This record gives sequence, C-alpha cells and structure tokens, in this order.
Amino acid sequence: MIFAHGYGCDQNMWRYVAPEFAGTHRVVLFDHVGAGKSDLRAYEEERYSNLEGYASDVLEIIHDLDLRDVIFVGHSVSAMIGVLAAIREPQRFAKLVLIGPSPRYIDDGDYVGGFAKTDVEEMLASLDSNYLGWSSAIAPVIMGNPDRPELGAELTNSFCATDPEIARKFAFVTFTADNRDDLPKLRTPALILQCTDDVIAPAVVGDYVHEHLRGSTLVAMNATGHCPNLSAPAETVAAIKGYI
Amino acid sequence: MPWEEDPGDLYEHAPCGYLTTLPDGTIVRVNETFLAWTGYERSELVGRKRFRDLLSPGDKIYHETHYAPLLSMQGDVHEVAFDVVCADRRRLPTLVNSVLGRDPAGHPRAIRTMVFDATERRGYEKELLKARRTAEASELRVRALQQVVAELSAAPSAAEVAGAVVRAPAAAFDAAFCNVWLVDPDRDQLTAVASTDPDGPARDDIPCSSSRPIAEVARRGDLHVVPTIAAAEERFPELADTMRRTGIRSAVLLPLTTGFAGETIGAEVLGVLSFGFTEERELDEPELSVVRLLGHQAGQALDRARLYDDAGRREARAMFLAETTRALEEPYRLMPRARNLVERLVPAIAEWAAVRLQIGPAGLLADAGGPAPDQVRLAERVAIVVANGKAEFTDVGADPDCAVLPLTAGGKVLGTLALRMAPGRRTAAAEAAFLSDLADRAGLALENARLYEQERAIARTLQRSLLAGDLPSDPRFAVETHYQAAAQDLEVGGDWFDAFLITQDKLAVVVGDVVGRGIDAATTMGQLRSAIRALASAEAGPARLLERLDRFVDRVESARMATVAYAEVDLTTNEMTYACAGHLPPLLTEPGGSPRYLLDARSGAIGSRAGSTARIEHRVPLSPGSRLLLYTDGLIERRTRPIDKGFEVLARTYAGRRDSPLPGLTKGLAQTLVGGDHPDDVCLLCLSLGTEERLERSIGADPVQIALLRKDLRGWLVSHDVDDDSTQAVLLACSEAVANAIEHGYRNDPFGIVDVTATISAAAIEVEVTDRGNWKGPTGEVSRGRGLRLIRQVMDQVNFDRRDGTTVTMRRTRREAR
Repeated sequence: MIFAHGYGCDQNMWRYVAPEFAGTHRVVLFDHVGAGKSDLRAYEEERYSNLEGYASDVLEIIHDLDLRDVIFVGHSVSAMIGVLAAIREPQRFAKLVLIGPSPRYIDDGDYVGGFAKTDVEEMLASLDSNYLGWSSAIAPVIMGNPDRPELGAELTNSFCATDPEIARKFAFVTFTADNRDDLPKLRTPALILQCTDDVIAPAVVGDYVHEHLRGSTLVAMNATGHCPNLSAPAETVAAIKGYI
Repeated sequence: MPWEEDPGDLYEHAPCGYLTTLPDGTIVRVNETFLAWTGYERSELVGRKRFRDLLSPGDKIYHETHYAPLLSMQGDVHEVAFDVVCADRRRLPTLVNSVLGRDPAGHPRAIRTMVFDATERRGYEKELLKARRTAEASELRVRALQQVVAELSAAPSAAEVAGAVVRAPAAAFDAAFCNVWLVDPDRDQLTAVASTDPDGPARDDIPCSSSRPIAEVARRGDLHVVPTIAAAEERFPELADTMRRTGIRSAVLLPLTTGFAGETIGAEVLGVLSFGFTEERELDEPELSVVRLLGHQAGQALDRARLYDDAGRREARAMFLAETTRALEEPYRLMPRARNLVERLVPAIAEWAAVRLQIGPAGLLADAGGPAPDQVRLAERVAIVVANGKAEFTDVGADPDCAVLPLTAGGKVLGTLALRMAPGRRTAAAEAAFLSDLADRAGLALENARLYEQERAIARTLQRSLLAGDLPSDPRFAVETHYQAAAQDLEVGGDWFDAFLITQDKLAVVVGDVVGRGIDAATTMGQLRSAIRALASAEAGPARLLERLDRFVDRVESARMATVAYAEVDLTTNEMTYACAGHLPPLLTEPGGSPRYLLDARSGAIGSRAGSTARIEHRVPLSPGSRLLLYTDGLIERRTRPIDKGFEVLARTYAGRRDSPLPGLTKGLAQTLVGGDHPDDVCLLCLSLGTEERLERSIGADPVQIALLRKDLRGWLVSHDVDDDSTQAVLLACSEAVANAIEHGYRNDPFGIVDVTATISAAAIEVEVTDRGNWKGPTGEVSRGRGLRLIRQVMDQVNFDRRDGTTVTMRRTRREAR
C-alpha cells in the first residue's frame, strides 16, 4: 500500500491511518519533492510543471521497490496523481483509494469545481503572507543555534514543513490542473471517499469523479472537512478496509 | 484591587478576538471584541457558521490544506495569517492562534482560537512582499541581461550577436516585436538582420540619411522611449502607423553603441534594437538602465564581431588569392587561364566577371555569371582603364558595384578584369586592396600564359618546318609518316622522322627522339636530323653512323641521350641493315607472316658513356611487300600498363591492318593506339618495300584460314592499286573457291592443303585455287553450284581443271582495261 499525501502537508498526515495496515500490507510512505524530508535538489521546474511529473515519481518508487498489486491511497491532489500513474502502468495497480479527489478545482462552464480563478490567486497571496511570517520567525532561531538542528523540529507549525518556493509552484500546479479528460481512461477499480462539508472537494465534485470513473465506488463519510485521515482516522481506516 | 478584573468582562472585551469552535469548526462561543471588529451579530455566528466560513476563499483553501491538518497533528497552530471577511464584506487582516482541546480519552473536544488585528503588520508585510517581488523582477531582468551577455560573448558573428540581442527584451521585459537593425557602413544603410516576427526581419534596407525613426536613432545615438501612440504621433508619425498596425502601445528604440552606457560622444552606433509592448508602459529608471546596458553590451559584442569578421574575411581573402594563384598555374594556355579566373570569381566573389585581353585585332574575352553590365558603358570604362592603367572600383550612378581593374605585367596593360560584386557582399570599393592584389596576380599569370603560347607557337612552327622536307619516292618503295602532337598543353617534343636516299640505290630511314621539350628540343632535333643526313654514306653503314653521332654530340650537348632507330635498305638486293641506339625496336611484317620486332643491333642512347662505345648493326633480307615500322615511345608507352603490353597491342593492331593501304596507315595506327587524349608527342614512319608480283599462299583446309587469306589478298591488291570493284570481286571469288575446296575437296579434313596463287598485269588479275581433294557426293553439287554461280557472276573468266584434285583459274579484267 502506497500512501501519498496531498498538497500542504507531508507523510505525517498518515500517522493515524497507515499503521493500521502495517500488519497486513507492505506500507510505503513518501514525501513529494519539496515536502517533508524530501531532497529539495531533486526539484526541477520543468518536470513538476504538471501533475504527470509527480505521477512519474510514484511510478519510479514502484519500479525501484518492484511493487506489484499496489493499493494506492491518495489524498487530495495525490488522488489525481494516483489516477494518472495507474493510467500509465495499470498492470502495477490493484486498487486506488481516492480521498477527496478533484479533477479540476476551478469552475468551468457547467462544471462546478468550487473555486473561481481569482480565489486561487488569492490563495497564492495567502501563502505568501504566511511564509513571510514563518520565515521571519523561524530563520533567527535556526541561525542563532546552528549547533542544535533539533530546534528546527520543535518550531511552531513545523509539521508538514515544505519549501515555500516549491509549495507555491505545487499549489499553482494543483489548483490550476484540469484532469477531467483523464478520468475515463482509468481501468483500475477505485474507492472515492467523500467527506461532508469539504470546501476543497465538495460533494458535487465527488459525484462527478464517481460518474466518470468506471467501476468506482463512492463512500460518503460522516467526517467533515478535507482531511478525514486526520479528523476521522477510524472512519477512514474502516472505509478503506471495507473496500480492500 | 483596581487591577482585579472581572473574568467575564476580560473575556468579552479582551484586546483580541476569541472564538471557541467544535472540532469541525462550528462556532459555539465568540467574544465582543471579535464581533465589534467584524460587525457580526453573535446570533449570526454561534451554531451557524464554521470559523472557515468567515475566511476569504483563498484563505479557506489554506485553512483546509494547512491549518486544519496542523492543528489536528500538533494540537496547536500559531500566527497563521488569515483575512476575515467582515459583515460588510470588508476584510480584516488577522493573525490567528488556535489550540485543540481533547477530552480525557484523547478525542478532540473543542478549538480555542485567538484572533489579533494585524492590519498594520500586514500592511507592513505587504510592503515587504512588494519589495521582494520588485527585487525578484529586477533579478529576473538582471538574469535575462546576464544570459544575453553570456550569449553575446559567445557570439562570433554580427548575425549571431543580433540573434542573441533580439531575444533579450522579451526575456527581461515581456516585450513583443523585437527587431535588430545593423549599420552597413559600405552601403551607408541599415539592414534588418533579426526579428522575433515569425516572418523574419523586414526586407527593406533603410539609408542612413533617411528620416525614418530607425535611421534617426542611429544618427543621434541615444535611447528613445515612446510611451504612447500619441507620443509617437508627435515625434515619429511613421512609427505611430507601425504601432497601430502591429498592436504595439509603447515602443523603445535603442541604439547599439560602442561607447559606455549613456555615453554618446565618440561612440559609434553599430545598430538599433527596437521593441514594443502590447500595453502602454512607462519604464522606470532601473529598467531604463538595464535597457541602456543592453545597448552597450550588444554594441561591444558587435564591435568585437566586426573585428572577427574582418579577420575572418582577411583570412578568406588570403586563402582565395593563394588558391587562385595556384589554380591559375594549372592550364598553361592563355584562354583556359582566363576562363579559370572568371569561373573562380563567380559566384565566390562576384556575380559577374569578365577578362578582356588586348590580344589580336578583336581582343579575347572570357566571362562568367550575370547579368552583364551595359556593354557600351563598359567598353568606355575598359578603354579608360586600359589607357590609364588605373582601377575604377565604382561607376557612380549607373552600376555602382561594377569595378574595372587593369591586368598588368611588367608595366604593360595586358587587358582588364571587370566584375560586379555578389549581392550581400562588401562593395568593390571596400574590397579595393584585395581586388587589386587579385588583378596583379592574374595579370602575371595571364602574361606568363601569353608568353608560353607564343613560345609554343614558335616551337611548333620550327618543328613543322624541320619535318616538312620532301620525302623521297620511288616505284621500288614508299614511305608514310605521321606526327601527332601531344593533346595536352605541353610544349613540343623532340621526336622526328626522316627518309632520304644516300645513293641512287640506298635508302635511309630514321626515327629519333631528343631529350627535353620546347624550342631547345626542336632546335636540337633539327641539328641531329641534319647531322644524320650529313654523316650517312654508301660505305659507312648504321653502326659507323651511330659512332659518328656519338662524337657529334660531344659538340652538341643538348643532343646527348637522344635515341635513334636507323635502317639502310639496298634497293637492288632488298637487304636491310639496321641499328637501334637506345630506341624502341622496329616492327617488321613480311608477306604472309606475322609482325615481328627486330631486336638485334641494340646499343645505348647517343652520347651515353655507359658501357662499350662500339656500335653494332644487323642485316635482314627483306622480301618485296615487306613493311617496316619505326616509331617513338609515345605510341606504346602508357603509365597504366607495362611496356610489354604496349608492344603486344602494337603488334596486334599492326597485324590487323596488314591489308590497309599505306596512305593513312601510320595515322590510323596512332589514332587506334593513343587516341585523341595523350600526354606525349607520337612520331611514326612506315616503309613499304616493293610489292609482291605474285601472291602465293598455301593454307590448311580450315575455314578460319580464309579470313587471313582475305586480308593478305586485299593488302596485295591494294598495294597494286587495284580498283575497289575488282578488289571486291577477286576477294569474293577467291573466298568462294577456297571454301569449296575445303568443304567439298577435303570435306573439312584439317590436313588438306589449298594453294592460292595470284598474279597481276596492267590488264587483269588472275587467281588460281588448287586442292588435291576428292570431289564427290550429290549434295555437294548443289552448294557448289551456288558458290560457282557467284564466282561466275563476279569474274570475267573461270576455268576448272579436274586432274589430281581440282584447280580453279579465275580472271578479272581491271577497270582501267575495261
């Protein structure tokens, strides 16, 4: 089982879910480039200018570890990354679990994604404000205690540490992506976990994905918000176990 | 105590907003401060809204992707910047701290959130952010400029510099429509060389003196920024039209200069970069300084490229001159050299070139390329250049790129070289030094060719006059000679032939070859030829003659190592005495025999001091009808084959022509053996001695033999001057009679012998064919009848004698006697 974190966090977000499968499955956790403890030097603007680059990373992990019958659990944007990877090499994948998937965040004609183009621009500005605050708060502490790197780990808001520049570009790629045409190409069975009151991936988007993914199963969860793996791990684990 | 506070009041009126929400964000408690800041009624919020509902849409995403997961994992989140949307849609910049409270079982229970008004701080942060964005934009420009500078330093040619510069404005300023114009000092104009327009640069050149904006900027050498179409209207109405047509709202015209940035005095303008923006745009001072820097860097790169170009051109010119000088040495003769010159010039240097040489009444002309200039005007200019000996590099007005240069040698004008430079090249005036150098070299090469031709003509004339003397003729013998000069442009060789009567009854024939070429060889050949005539005597004989020649060359050094084949024929006895001094062996054919080389009486070349000085000679009795061939090495020597092969080919060819009449024989041999393209002179002499009065042959009863017999018979008939009709008739009749003898007399028995005898008189030819076979069989009669009928048709008289085999006697009256 591969657990892929979504935009804004790192593999820490699986802390309540992944251990539940360690007894029955080989569990693979990873950080996308730019997130968590990933090697920032591996970031190439060209390669990661669309989601295919991230999907290639997933496939490289599968090849390097020679994984077969993969159950891919993707949260948020990683749900679509998993869909792209499974389209390219379906023979490696057994099942997909898509938590809060969205093929397109921005409204387009009759399609409802939940956001206007200006919302996404505003979100990028919001990122700027917060990173400015963080970097000014974090930098002096780290610089003043170079012999104590563990201080960095204890800093406020240090979970899901991401490189601000890469995160900004990842956000742009994520929220401007349009993968609606890819959905019908998927041949791997998929479970869609749809939360209540998810502003990032509203129920109407979950229905759209369900409609366009052949043979997919939609489970509407009681959990609210966009991160049931954190806010309702038990329900999430039960839903996944029920499916696989 | 005055500082004791009522906790309720502290909660409600604390200097910060305070919210309590359920784990899903639903607001369950909110303080007065927050309500006052945001303008919401408590009832609007409590139980009705989640905290995230109060955030701007962008912050909602941030809340869901960052804030909520962090809070869930850490239990608290600090100083997250959110814009809270107030009741009146106004946005309140805030900083938010939250703590997640859990029940004793560890399940999330409630979230306490403190909200600080961060209006001032966020304003300050926005300033900082703006400054950072500006710095980033500036860095982008600097990086674009650095990129261009790196490309410029690697660009070796003006075209590549232009290619690098034209991409810069788009990279640094998001500009559209960039064009680079370069100054062409030779033509005093600006040429568009690079453009971001997919159709490529404009094709019309702008004279430097033009009133067009590009030319004006190039003249003035300072940066022009045209912020609006209205501004363009005022200063450059033409530019305003262009801007309207291409959808450009602001334009920049930047001179590319060699001076330092901003410095215009003493700086040379090498080109102009123009670019535009699709929106109206003012460039601020930092941006302008980047633009100026770009113009300066590009100017310096152009200056460097110009030096490279110049050095490259000089090198190419030097190579062209060296190669042309070498190439002009190849053909020796004048016109091929002239043609070679113009063909090298077009199209490498010129689009049209012509060499006129003042030789002969009409002059000589070689030209290449086109179009040719006006002929009348050109003739006038040529006349002036010939008269003055000075080059004209331009013809103002009429044909400015057409130059006329004198071709001189030793101060004398040999002719002119006229040319028009290829389009896109520098003008003839700009290339004056190179063209003058070229004309000087060409003049010398052409003068040498002229001198060579002159000398060659003299040598040929001399050689012809020396060989032209009448050869003796006599009913007892006939001599046929042929001299073929080398086809390639080489000087004359020293080959010669001679035939003369030493006494009334003694004939001498000679073929020789002097070492060397040209006038000297021709002169020496004349001396040797005369010496042999003088030294030959009735008593001496060939060996003694050669010994005397050896002594002769002690005085005439240039004749040393000459080779000679010499033969004397006693016309009363038909006995020949011959000797070869270093020369190829004579080739002899006797009637009915195969050609054979006379390999006796061989000794070294004339005057060679190697070995014995005693000369030897050899006697050969000849039968009438014999033919003796003397020749020089050019006939058989080939670089591509061994000499043995040459001898073999000559013998075979000679045998194949045994029935050819003597006139034309030597020429025919030369043509067959050496053809038209041969590197050496060829000299042949064929002596035909008497003629057989009777032709007598005995051949085996083999049809193959008939062909050989026909050749001999034809040669015999031809040597007796028998007319064609009679020759054909006799050949046909004889062949039929012999065939009948083989087929019916011997029935193809290969050991049978057929005797053929032919005699001739002034009136008729008589042929007798005899076999000793046994004629029989009825089938034979039919064929025989057909052969006989043919014989009777063509011969005037036919008799059969059937004793002891069969003898057919046939007679044909000659045309002269009919």
